[in-house]
Amino acid sequence: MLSDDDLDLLSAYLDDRLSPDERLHLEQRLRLEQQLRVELDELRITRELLQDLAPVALPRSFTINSASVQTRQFWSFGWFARFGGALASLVLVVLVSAALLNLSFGTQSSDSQIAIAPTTVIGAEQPELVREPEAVAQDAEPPVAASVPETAMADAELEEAVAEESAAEEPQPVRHATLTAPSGGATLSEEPRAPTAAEGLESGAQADGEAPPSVNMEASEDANGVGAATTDSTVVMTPARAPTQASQLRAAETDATQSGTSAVGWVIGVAVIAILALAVWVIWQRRTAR
Amino acid sequence: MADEELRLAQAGQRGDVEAFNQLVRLYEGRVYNLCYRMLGDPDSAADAAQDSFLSAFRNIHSFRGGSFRSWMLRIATNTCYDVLRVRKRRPSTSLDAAFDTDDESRPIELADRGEAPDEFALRHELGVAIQQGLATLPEDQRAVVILCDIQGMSYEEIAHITSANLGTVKSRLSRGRARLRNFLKATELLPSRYRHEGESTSPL
Repeated sequence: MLSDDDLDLLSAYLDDRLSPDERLHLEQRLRLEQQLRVELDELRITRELLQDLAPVALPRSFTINSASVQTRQFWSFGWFARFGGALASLVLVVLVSAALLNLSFGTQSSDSQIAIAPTTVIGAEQPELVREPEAVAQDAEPPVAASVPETAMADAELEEAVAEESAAEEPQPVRHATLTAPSGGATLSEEPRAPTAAEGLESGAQADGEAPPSVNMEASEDANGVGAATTDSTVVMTPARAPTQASQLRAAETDATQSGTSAVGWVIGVAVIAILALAVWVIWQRRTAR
Repeated sequence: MADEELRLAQAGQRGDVEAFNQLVRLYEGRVYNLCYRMLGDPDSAADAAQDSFLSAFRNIHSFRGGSFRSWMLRIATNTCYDVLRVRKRRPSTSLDAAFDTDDESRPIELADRGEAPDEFALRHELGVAIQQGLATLPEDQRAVVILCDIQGMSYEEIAHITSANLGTVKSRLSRGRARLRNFLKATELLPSRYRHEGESTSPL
């Protein structure tokens, strides 16, 4: 049994593909090795049998029917037939990516609201902040002030401090905003007007997931026997007002987080689309390169 | 000849089907024989040959000069590989082939003029045996043996057609020939005169 190298040598010798040195060396071995000569003869016979094979007659003509080719081209729209699969894949990927991104955004916004909600609860539990609007309202309207004693009152120092702070922050717009707030409180933060302190308050309250200001408006206008309601509404509003800047910052931070997340999501989506498009293109190139 | 082929190919690139059909007529015999030797079945070979020419026409824009024959046979070889791959994935048995007891389904082999009937019968029997032996070869060795020993192509052209280097072509060819030789010897289909000659004759 010959080795593969010897078989390669004999096969190349039959096809006259050996270098002069290889040929001379093989011919010297052939004179000495009987087995090598037998192998060479058998390979030569096999090769001659293959070369002597009669060609097979054609069963039919393989010429192309121009009508069928043109019809196919017409229906396939040339390049569209070539890239139709890739286009369909891209469209599918875009649709799926858009659906996934929208789903993830919705989940993230609800998560942010849920995450901020405990902050509001903590603020509502701070009794000193409850009195802030009443201190502002004492100079304005008695009905609102009348409801103050029913609420939990804090010490005088805090009252003074809150009064000073309220005076510095122009408390009148707060009450005005409280009274004139539209019943559709949920839409306040979406108004395109320039943000005032009252709007900041309302938007802060909304960002904290509080009840809409409409409840507050009703409670403030009803001066008879609705102190509890006024208290509730005050409790609702005051935590948001005290950290107005913090709420605004939190809202801005939430927006920035959402916009950053959306940007990351779009980048990921575009990257996925690009990778898939590249894969489709490579597969197509390999198929056409045959 | 090469210039004429190039001109016809360029006309085909412009959508001239009739010009491309002239190329088809030039190479349909070679392409069909390659497909038949690769697949061993005339119907599959005819389908593969037709698919090869259709594929060539659709991708004629990718032909950038050189040997049209090599380019065409490369397409045909790859088409045969695809058919064989599908066969492996979904093996099937033709009912027609199973009940065929005569040679009607076999392709007609062209006889030499002046050949005696017994010589033709012997040659036909040998052809059948060789086709069976080719079917036992791995696909890559089969393609190289067919292209070299039946189609008479050079190593370089085979390397281009099969997308392999020269060393790979040489080794595939030698192993394919050795396997085929072993098959013919084992089935005692190698003519006795050849077998006895091999033991007595000297190569030099």
